[in-house]
Amino acid sequence: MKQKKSKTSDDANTELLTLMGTLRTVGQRLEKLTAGQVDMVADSDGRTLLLSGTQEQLKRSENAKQAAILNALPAHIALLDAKGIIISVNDVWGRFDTGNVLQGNPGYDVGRNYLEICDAVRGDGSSDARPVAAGIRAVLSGVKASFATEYQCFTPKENRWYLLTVTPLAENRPTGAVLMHLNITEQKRVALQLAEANERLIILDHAKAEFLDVISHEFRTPLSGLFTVGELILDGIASPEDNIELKNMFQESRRRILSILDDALLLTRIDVKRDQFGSAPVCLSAVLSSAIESTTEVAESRHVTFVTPPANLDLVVGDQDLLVRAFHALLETAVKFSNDGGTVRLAHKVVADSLRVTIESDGWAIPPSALPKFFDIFSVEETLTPGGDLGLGPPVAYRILSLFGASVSVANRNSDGIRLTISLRKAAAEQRGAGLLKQEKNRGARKLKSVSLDAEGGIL
Amino acid sequence: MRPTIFKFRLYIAGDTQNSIIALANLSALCDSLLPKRHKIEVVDVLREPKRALAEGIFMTPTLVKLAPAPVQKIVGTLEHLARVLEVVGLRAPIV
Repeated sequence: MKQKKSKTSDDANTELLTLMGTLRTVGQRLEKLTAGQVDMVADSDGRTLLLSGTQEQLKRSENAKQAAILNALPAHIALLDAKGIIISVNDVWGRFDTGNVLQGNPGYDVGRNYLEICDAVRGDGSSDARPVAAGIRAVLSGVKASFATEYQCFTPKENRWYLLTVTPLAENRPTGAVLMHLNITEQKRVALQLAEANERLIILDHAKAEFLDVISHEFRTPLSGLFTVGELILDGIASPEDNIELKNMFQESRRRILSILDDALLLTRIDVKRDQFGSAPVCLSAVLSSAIESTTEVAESRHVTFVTPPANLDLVVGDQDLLVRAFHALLETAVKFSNDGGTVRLAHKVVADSLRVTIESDGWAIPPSALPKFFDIFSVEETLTPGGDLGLGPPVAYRILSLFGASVSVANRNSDGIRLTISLRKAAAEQRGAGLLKQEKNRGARKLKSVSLDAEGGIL
Repeated sequence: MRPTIFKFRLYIAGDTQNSIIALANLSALCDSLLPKRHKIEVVDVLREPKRALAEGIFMTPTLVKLAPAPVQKIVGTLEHLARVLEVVGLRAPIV
């Protein structure tokens, strides 16, 4: 049996050799017939055959192309076989940096095992070499799809940074890998400069915030003096009619100045000290009623009526005071877009994990060109509303809400009013429990609430 | 009277050496002897093998002169200028 197998194998080898000889003869004959001027022949069925000279030339041409591509790259590139032996390098590989234990140098030539080179590194470079060797082994064994690491190289002239990448030659089987060292010193330098510039900007921002903080306080004192003097002077005016008109103008101007100062200060704090704002479960109805109360004076001055929804105990994520301020700003905005004697309607409903509040006013609409930048600073001109200047209300509301993952948008209501839509995050069950219990002062009410929350799954 | 336009179709096999030489020789010949009176279409048989088969081309490079009649073929790198000129019809047959 063994003998038969051996004979079959010998026969196959003999036939193979004979066919090879025939192929060579055919190739030589074709070359001779075509006088070396033909690259390819085809039979009547379209089967093509590249002549041997052309095959050689194509192979050389392909190799030259690949070498040109590799040599055109600024990186140090080496091709490793499955065992880590260097089988090919590009021209740059030989131009090593003195002191770089990982990069190509005359000693790291074709035929050397790169893994052994890494394993043999001792001293300062060993901390870089060990993970590199592990990364290459992981890629060559197919454990990792690729490997990349950055390392620093201390040369006599300067410190350089390199990015080392190891890419497998084939995705499914470990046949080798391409090793590339790319000099990223310039990118690192720029990144470092950017980080430094950013640090300087943060310091400047803090300085600006502190400056504005101080300025706003400093403004208040002389302004208070001016306001007091103004009131005294107005009190001394004889004509009661003139007195009332001037007083109203004076009060409105004072309110606007103080409001702009407060809002500007808050905007700066949100921009610079964003992390310092905390959040807790807040009762939406409590927020809305406080905001309505603080907007009543402005609404009454324009004879605008609020239509409010029934109260509910839903809790949202935020800060009570800041949310009141945001809703006050939005309500005041709605009032200013209302006609004299108009109505501002509030409504709310639960949408998935959020509470959606709408504020609608009857009156003027926002020009389409002003809609996209409605929440930008001083973007809505005084002449666009029947109620006058919006101040910093819309941007203040927008930024307060963004602090708590909430949002606000604005749209026109068929050209006769506006609709503000606020989406607030509902507090989680455990937060709701804690928040509600904190708010309930009445013991009996607390007991009732506990029963209700237990049914909802809140933690008591 | 309009000048006669010479139309050529050159079948090549990618960027193989003989094909590149043939294309260079044909371009040089046309530029010097037929300025603004020629059109060259290059067919890569590696990309369009069926076209070569349909048009009876079994070796590359092969030059086909399509116009003016008669249609003529010449195989090789087009290095032998006299033979090429004869096929193209720009001089009398070589005796």
